[in-house]
Amino acid sequence: MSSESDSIPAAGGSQGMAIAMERAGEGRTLTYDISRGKVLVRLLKNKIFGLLTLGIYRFWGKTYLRQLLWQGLKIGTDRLEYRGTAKELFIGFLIALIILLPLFLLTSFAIELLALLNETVAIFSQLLNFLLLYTLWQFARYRLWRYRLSRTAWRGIRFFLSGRATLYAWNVLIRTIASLVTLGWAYPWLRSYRLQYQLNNTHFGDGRFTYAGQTAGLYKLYWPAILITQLVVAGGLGYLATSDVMTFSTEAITAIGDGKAAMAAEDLGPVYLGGFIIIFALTVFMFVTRVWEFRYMAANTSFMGARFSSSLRLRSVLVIFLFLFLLSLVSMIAFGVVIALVIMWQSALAAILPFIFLLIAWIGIDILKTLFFLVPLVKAICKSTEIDTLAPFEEAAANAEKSPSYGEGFADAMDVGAF
Amino acid sequence: MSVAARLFDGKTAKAQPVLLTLAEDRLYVTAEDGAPVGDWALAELRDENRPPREDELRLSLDHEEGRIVVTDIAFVEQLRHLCPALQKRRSAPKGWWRPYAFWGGGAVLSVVLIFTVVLPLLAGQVARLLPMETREQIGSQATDFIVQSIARRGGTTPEAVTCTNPEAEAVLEKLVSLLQLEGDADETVRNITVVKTKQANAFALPGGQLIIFSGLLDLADHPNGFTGVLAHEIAHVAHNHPTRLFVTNAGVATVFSVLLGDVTGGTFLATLGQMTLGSGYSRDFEREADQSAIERMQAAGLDVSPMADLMQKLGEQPGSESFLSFLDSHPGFEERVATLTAAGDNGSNALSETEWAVLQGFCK
Repeated sequence: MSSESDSIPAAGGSQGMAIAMERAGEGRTLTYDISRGKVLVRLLKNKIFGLLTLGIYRFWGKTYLRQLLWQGLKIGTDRLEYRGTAKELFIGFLIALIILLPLFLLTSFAIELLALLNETVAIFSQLLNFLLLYTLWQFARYRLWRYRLSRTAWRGIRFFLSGRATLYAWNVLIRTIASLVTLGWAYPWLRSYRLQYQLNNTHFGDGRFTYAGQTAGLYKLYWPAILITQLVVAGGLGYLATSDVMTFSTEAITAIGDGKAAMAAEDLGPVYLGGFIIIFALTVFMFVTRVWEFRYMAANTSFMGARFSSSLRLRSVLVIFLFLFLLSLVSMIAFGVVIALVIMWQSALAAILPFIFLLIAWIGIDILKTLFFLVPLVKAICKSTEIDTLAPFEEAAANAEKSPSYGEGFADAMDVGAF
Repeated sequence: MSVAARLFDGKTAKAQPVLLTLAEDRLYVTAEDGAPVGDWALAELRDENRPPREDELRLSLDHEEGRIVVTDIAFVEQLRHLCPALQKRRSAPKGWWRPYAFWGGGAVLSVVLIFTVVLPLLAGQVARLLPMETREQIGSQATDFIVQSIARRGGTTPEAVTCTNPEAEAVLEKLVSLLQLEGDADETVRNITVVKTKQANAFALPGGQLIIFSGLLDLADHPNGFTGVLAHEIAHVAHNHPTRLFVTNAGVATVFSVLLGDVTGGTFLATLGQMTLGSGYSRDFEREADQSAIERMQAAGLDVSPMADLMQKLGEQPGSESFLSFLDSHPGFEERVATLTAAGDNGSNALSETEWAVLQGFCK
């Protein structure tokens, strides 16, 4: 059997790879292909076993799912490999439990205590609690990325994220507060910091990624979104303040109190519809800006001389978004119809229906999110992203830097990260 | 007969072209120039592709980083037949359980320590630091909640179930001052609410607040039985138990939200956990209150033995209330009756017959 002709390169190095790529008919450097059926089965298994083991299975389930998702991504001719283990995740969780639990207790006790002793603190205690959680969440996010990258290998070489999670969390916190105070005008500053810190700290083997983007560049992309959001919010508030809707809805709310709920719901209709349209429009607009940002990011990122570029089109992302939206809507309606039929057929079942509803929603949201959002989005990104040469990647050697021994305990305890 | 493949050695990303040869259950790997790279038993080979791919094997040889990628379809098929353990998980290295044991033990220890040592200690400190106004606020909120739920169950208003009876109040106050000890200092009873309901119960709330269910007055045959229960609740107040319980419950809720792996969604389960683990006083608190109640009774020269009778009766009541109940998580009845019996039946009655009649008529 055998045959030199069938198999890959006789000549090593980048030249050989280039030949191999041409032979495989691969025009693009990044491709994503994955069996949705296998992902679906994995998601279902994860949910069922997770439920049966009171959540302990999630470490194994996550690991298997990541193996599938990672292997779907092909750079040149070779696929990514996820090398994390469930054991690392589990022990990471245990460690976080030992550190996080006392930390949590002490800080929330301290805040509660201060709040009880001092009235000014009491007013801000909720805010303080929120800021504490938010900072911890950012910290956990950075650690999560560090763990994931250190367990991602391509051609036997691992990625790595350097930098300090505490520094990152602190800087994000400052910029988030600034964004809130300036009603969004500091937001591009926040985004710019995130991109800059994360990308400049990302390594592949002994090579390092470089992000050359500037905050000013992001302002050019974000100003319409910020301005429109402010106008819409201000307009909405103005409308509510001046029109009859407000009096209607206050009447409606009083009516709910009086037990005339049916009438109230009717009166609140326009308010709900208006709010829905605003949120929907803003979400779409946010997506548009994110697509611009992604292209900007790709154009300003390089790896040891290899340049990235993205031609990600608005349309392709909007199609995914709208399809997901329609699919959610249709499945909710279909689900509602089924439930109505079941109640008509056997009204005794109505008592357990809420539980079934919650269970199916709990599984369904994950499936929708992974199969109809994450996978198509990564596909669209890969399809549109080019790397001008893979040579620097192939030249990379293993890095001696120490990678984290255990998994994303903090992030797991705080429910950071979707998969 | 050899097949070309690519070796990734885990040291550089460059693909090394190698030749694979099969001989006697072993896979021989040689570099292009013929230099041997290594050889492995077929039973040791694993495929790292997840899910497995039709047209490719990504072989790992041991726990190391290296991979051999085989894309020759015929050879892939052959290897699939010859390698028995291709899709099996590699057996864990020796001592794999050690980190589990170490960190698992640590986590268990941490949780146990938090529940048994840290939380009670912190609760004691925090409870002491809380200003009296705050405690009174918490206490009166809890009182309102209890009165309201009793009223709702009876289908009336909170005002209708809250009893006012100046004569009986005077008797009750006399009893309370009889039972206070000099060491009680700040932690004294500040307010007593008597609620009209058939249930027999009494509890202490933060800020020196007591609630007495009028059923308890009906159930008690002897003034000293009721006085004993009152002494028990006064003892809880004197030891600041209600505030400590309140603070502990807040801590328990925090612990559960961390344990369940997420801060947002686990709140429901956290509340559930708090209800099962943190709702009642610990047995230590109850024992302390019992001991102190007997001391208070004896210091006032009162006969303790009627308490035992009342307790038997309370125990026979169908389904005691769940929240902060006088009965929940109390030391076993026999143990308590034994304690009371040991205290002996000597001493006088707490109230005269007339006074007792006035008190019993609190809500009539």
